[in-house]
Formats: sequence, structure tokens, C-alpha cells
Amino acid sequence: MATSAKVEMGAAYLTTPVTEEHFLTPEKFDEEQRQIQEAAATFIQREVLPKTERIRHQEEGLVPSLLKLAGEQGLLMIDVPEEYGGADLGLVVSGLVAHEMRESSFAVAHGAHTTIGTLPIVYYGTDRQKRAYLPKLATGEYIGAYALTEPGVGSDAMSIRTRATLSADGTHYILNGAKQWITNSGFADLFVVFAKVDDTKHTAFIVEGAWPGISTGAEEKKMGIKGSSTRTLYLDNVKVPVENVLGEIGKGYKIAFNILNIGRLKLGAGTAGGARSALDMAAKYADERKAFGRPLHGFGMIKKKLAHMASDVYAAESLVFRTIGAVEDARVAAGEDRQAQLRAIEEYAIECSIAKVFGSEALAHCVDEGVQIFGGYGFMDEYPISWAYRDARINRIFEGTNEVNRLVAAGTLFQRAMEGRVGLMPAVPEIQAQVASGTAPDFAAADTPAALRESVNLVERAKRAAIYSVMKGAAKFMATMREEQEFLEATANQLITIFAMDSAVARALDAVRSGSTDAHAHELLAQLTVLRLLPEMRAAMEAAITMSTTGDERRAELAKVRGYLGDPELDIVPVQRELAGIVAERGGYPLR
Amino acid sequence: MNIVACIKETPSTTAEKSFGPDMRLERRKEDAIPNPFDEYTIEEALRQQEKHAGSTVTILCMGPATATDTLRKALAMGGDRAVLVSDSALAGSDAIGTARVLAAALQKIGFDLALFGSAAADAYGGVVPSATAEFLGLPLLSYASKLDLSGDSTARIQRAAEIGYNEAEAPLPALVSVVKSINEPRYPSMKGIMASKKKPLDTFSLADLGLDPSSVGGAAARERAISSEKVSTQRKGEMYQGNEGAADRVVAFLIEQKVL
Repeated sequence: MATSAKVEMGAAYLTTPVTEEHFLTPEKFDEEQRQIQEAAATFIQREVLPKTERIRHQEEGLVPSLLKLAGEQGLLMIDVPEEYGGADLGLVVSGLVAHEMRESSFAVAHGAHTTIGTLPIVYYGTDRQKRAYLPKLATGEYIGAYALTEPGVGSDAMSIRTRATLSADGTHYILNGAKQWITNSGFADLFVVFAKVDDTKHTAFIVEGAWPGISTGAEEKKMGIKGSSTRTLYLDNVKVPVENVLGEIGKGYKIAFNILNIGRLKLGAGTAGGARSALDMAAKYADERKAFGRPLHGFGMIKKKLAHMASDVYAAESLVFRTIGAVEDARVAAGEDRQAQLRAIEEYAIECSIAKVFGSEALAHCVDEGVQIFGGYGFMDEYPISWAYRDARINRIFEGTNEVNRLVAAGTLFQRAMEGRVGLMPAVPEIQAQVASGTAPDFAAADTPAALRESVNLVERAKRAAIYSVMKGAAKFMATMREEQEFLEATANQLITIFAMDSAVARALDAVRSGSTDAHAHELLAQLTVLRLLPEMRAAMEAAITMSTTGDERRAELAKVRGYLGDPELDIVPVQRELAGIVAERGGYPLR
Repeated sequence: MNIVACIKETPSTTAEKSFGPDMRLERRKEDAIPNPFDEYTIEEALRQQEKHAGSTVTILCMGPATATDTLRKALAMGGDRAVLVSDSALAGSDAIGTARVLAAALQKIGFDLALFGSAAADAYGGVVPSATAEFLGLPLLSYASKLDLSGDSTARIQRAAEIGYNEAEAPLPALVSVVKSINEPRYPSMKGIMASKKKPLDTFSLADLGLDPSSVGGAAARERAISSEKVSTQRKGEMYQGNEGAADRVVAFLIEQKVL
């Protein structure tokens, strides 16, 4: 672990006071980052959105041509090192670009190319492999794809059946098998393919699409992201030169898992952007559409929806860019060695999984309420919100299902706690004393803005109550933890809601301290995030306690944690009404 | 051929505007953008460069020291280098003062073609191109909706007229001001933004241009803003509803307006 003061430990948010946290927020992007964000947004606005209908119908050659145009403008070279024709701008910029993609099918094609299609070579390629392929991937001359999933093999990626057999002369591996649901497969020039050598050694290969023996099946008929190419990739005696083994033989799974952390983070950025886009559509409609003589946003229940959507976007953006900032700092501090960089990124595996889960679920909520605000029109094909609804669904499934990501988040926490890598244990005695006495100190520092004092205290008490409940269960379940998915889920849900509340409140504190002209909007967004997520956190905490206790102990423990956590005094209705007023006035998400 | 695109830094058109006690617009760095009309100026410079191999494009701006950010934004569209004329004595310059400075800067840079927007989105004076031409003693082809350079010696423009268009030409070096219909400006790409960081950007002071501070800036300004008023956006509307002769009233209104 690097010693830079900026680099915090993964999961440190659980034990760091919210008032002392300083991290990357969208308010802190520098001029260059903002300009590139705008350039990406303009590219999507001018080149992609006008062609949405044609993209959905998979017009031959359209998505590849748009990817190549993105390449000409530099939007494929962000993560590629300069010596291989890239711009090497880092994860903050690539996260920002993912955030602006908006057209879901194009976003998936772009993401598959730049993340899982390109990064395995960036992180694991030999110099020769990088020279051969990265310059072409950086410009879009080659379109990349990633082939791991097989019929019957998804989250259990170790069970793949595609075989790689060394040729008699030792110069080639012969690949045989089928890979399912491969994004970009209809036009990809390069595939990162996972196969087993000698039936046991999980290994990655760089396979060119033009090589003999490669073919693809028909386009899948999907519920959403219809414009992205999704086919089965068939490998029939494909001769792959031994120089194209990516990484070590038998270590392919490392590539699969390590690159996924970055993939999840970028997906978090993309889904947060999608949620913002759904809110913008809904807010515009709620202004134009009148019922009973007033615009829809004049009604309390619509106000509630708009405000909740805004807080979803706020919390998602806050935790995603916080994590991106931390991961990027850690990556840079790790130096030039790519393996050291990946280890530094892995430190944030919990946060990366949360970014994916929270982003995709915030998006799911926003598109669902978006359709609801549009009413019957939202169910009609010609309204973009109906497509946003269909397109959103896949995000809870791919890049590790949200169930798998919950297991990763909670499982990693327990593993780290046992290894002493998270400062949970030292915090326990003080927390136990506080919970037992049912009283907590005032966690708001003297300079905490009045509007956020209660939010600060609720977040700090939630952190302690969560650690208390999780440690209670850990004592009971430690030996059988792998089989205790329900408890792991209850743990993950606490980790997720607390990270979201903590990130939102710390960002708002920052905005108020720095004298932002939007300070009041930040306060409302943070307050509402806490008021909405606290009940979710409480339910998960009570579930964890309930699972790990029985009878009188259960009653006593539940009473203790409920009493300690307490209830907000702030009324939610005025907060959501005022926030909805700002959303209506600004015609969408209030922060730009 | 040396092409210079003269641009101004203006507040974003959507930014909240306020005026100081001397009726000068209060400019905030975070609201500053290249004058939207000048996107057409820069685009035209880049298109002429693409047509005339070996040409260079310089982007010239007079503004506060912080306008270097605005010039980088302009360079993200394209161009080879930028020049900022900045000097504390320039604050409060009127159009004539500005033209005097631009004329001196253009002379120092050296040019065959100097392009201007037809006006700036903040002041809308529209006199800087002609005043600059006057200081330089060179021809101005104003309000061009089309520009052709024949060889390296003549500029020929079209200027939209009430019916059809006028054509005018002038020998180079010349100044040309352009209108929005002349082209469709490109947007800065990520690559353009990255490249803009590495392009040379020079800053000239009044001393560099050999200008006397008393001939420019607020002291020399003979043009003053007197007052400002917000444009009222309240529109008058009449609503006719129901079946009680609404259609007849609409028809009567259209006849009154000479539409029918």
C-alpha cells in the first residue's frame, strides 16, 4: 500500500468520521476534465442520439462506424498508455466519459471495447502484444470484445469448458468451444478469450476475429440494449500463436477478476449518468404535461418522485466519483508496475462492487419512476423513457450480478477484518459501550452547517450500529460464512446504504464549506439521501441481528440497536417538496 | 498564408449578468467562454487553412490575463497558436481602443487574412472589424456569408442582401468579418482538447505592441454605457376557448395581422 496521505484504505469510510472525509466530487473536476466531459457529451448529442432509431435496428455497420468516429476524436484512447498510441488520461476521465454515454446500446459497445476489450491487454499484455494491438484499439481500427461467459457458465467463471490444446510443434494453441452473449461480437476484430489449457489451467488468449475457425451465431433478441451486438462466438480449431497467450498460463482467472473491478466502477459511472438522463426526461415532461390545470410537478406525489430520483443521482455520483478518485490515486501511487496498480485497485474491491450495485439500482428506480411520470406515454415505444426502462435492466445482471457483487462486498469485508486490514476490531469496544448505554456523542463538529448536523449524526450512528450488528453475526457465522448468503446480503445492504449516505453527506459538507452557489441544493440532496436510505439500512441491520440471535436476546439486541440508531427529526415532505421545486425550475437534475 | 482569427472572451450566454457602478459588465472567470459568434470565425479560419496547404492559423484575443483558458478552449477547435493581448491599462477599453490594440497586434503578428465575427455576444457593437481596418489602412470585407481566396492574392466574399447577395473582393492582406450562415462550426474533440495544451500561447503587453497606455483603456474611452434594463420576456397572449365563436375570432385576428 502506498504511503501517500491522499490514499485511504478500502472500506475506511466505515471508521472515518464523515466530517473529516475529503475526496473527489463532481465539483472538483479540473478544467481539462470538464472540457473532455463536455466533448464526450457533445459527441453523443451530435453524432449518436440522432441515430438512436437506426442503432436500435442494428443497421449494418452503424455502431462500428460510430466507434471509429469516437476513436478519431480520442474517446477510445483514454486508458491506453501514450507509448502505445493512447492518451493515458486515467480513470477519472474514462469514468466521466462513461458517465456521458446516455445512448445505452452505444454505451455498452463503447464500454465493452474500452474496458473489457482493451484493459486486459493494457494490464497483462507483453510489450509485443501491446505494440501489435493497443494502437489499433486506441483509434478504433480494431474493435475489441471479451469472451468469458459460456452456455451454462456465467458467474461461476472458473467452470468454463472451452479448451486450448498445444499443437504438436509447440507453436500454437488450438481453441475449441462456444462463448455466449459476447458484446460487439458481430463486428469485433479482437477477442480476449478465456479457455482451459489441459482441461484445468484457466488461461486468457488474444484472438483475432479474422482467423480461420472463428464464427458467430445469430444476433440475440434482447429485452433492451437492442442496438448492441450480442452473439455466440464459436471457436472451431482456431490456431492461436503461443505469443498470444495473455498473462500466465493457469492465471487467466486473475485477469477476469481484476479487470472486473474497473469494469464495475465504470458501470457505476455509466448507470449514474443514465439515472440523471431519466430524471432530465421526466422533469421536462412533468413541466410540459398539465393535468387538472397544473403541470405534473405541481403535485405532491410527482414532487416526491422527482426529488427521490435527484437524490438517487446525487448519491450514485457521489460514491462513484469518490471511489474513482481513490482508485486513481492508489493506482498512480503504485507506480509504473501494472500488477502493483491492480493490487492497489483491488484494495477498493468493496467500493467497486457497491458502485456497480448502487448505480444500477438507482438507475432501475429512476427509469421505473420515469415511466410512471410519463404515464401511458411512458409505455409507448416512441417515448425514449420506455427504452431507458428496457435498457436499464441488464445493468443489474452483467459485470457480476448484483447478488454476486453483494457477496463480494460483504465477503471481502469479513476477510479483511480477519486479516486486520480494516480497522473494525479496534472500534468494537467503544461501539459496544455506546450501543449498550443507548447514547451517542454529538458527532457533528462545531463548524458543521446546521442543516447537516442531524444527517452527520445519523450517518455516524448508522456506521456504528452496522459494525455492531455485523460483528454480532460474524461471531455466530464465521465458520460457515460462505453458506450464509442471507446474512452476507444483510451485511452488504448496510455497507451499500452507509457508503451512499456517507458519500452524499461528505460531498454536501464540502460544497457548503467551499461556498458553492448550489450549497442549499447540496444540503437538500444529502438530507433526502439520508432520510430515504436510513430505513433501508435499519431494515438490513435488524435482519442481521435477527438472523444471529433468538428469543430474549433478540428482543434485547433489537431494542438496543433501534434505540441507539434513533429516528430523524427532520420531516421528509418539506425537503422533497423544496428539492422538487429546484428540479422543476432547472428542468432536470439540479447540479451540472 | 498567415490567417489570424480575432476573437473575444465573453460571458456565457446563459450566465447571470450584472453591472458595476460604472455600468461595466461584471465578468466572472468561471462564466467566460469564447464569444459564440467567434466559433464561426475560428471555423472559417480552419476551413481556409484546410484549403490552402501550408497556412497557419493564429487565434488573437484581447482580454484579462485569465483569458488564456478561453484561448485554450478556442485552440481545442484547432489552430496552431494563440496570442493574448493583456495589460492592466486595457480595462475599460471601448470599441475604438480595442481596435487600436488589435491593429497593433495584427501588425506585429503579420497576416494575409484577418477574420472577425460580426459582433460579440456581450456588447453587440459590431464596429471593431471596421475600426481595426481603418487603423491598418486595409480593406474590410464585412458580413461575409461565403469566402473564397483565389490564389494567395485576393479575397472574394458573398454578403446576403434583401434579395440575393452582393459579391465583393479585395486584395490581400485584408480583413473579413463573417456571419453565422458562413459555416457550421466543429465542436472540440477530446484529441483537440489534449492537443490545445501543447500549442504555443504568447501574451503581449501594451509595451510589446509599442502602444501608449493613455491611448487605450478606460481613460481613452469615448463611448460609455449609460444604463441597462432587463428585457421583459412577458408576452401578451389572448386565449379563445370553447365553441362560442373561437374560430371566427382566430380568423378575424389572422386577417387583422394580414396573414389571411
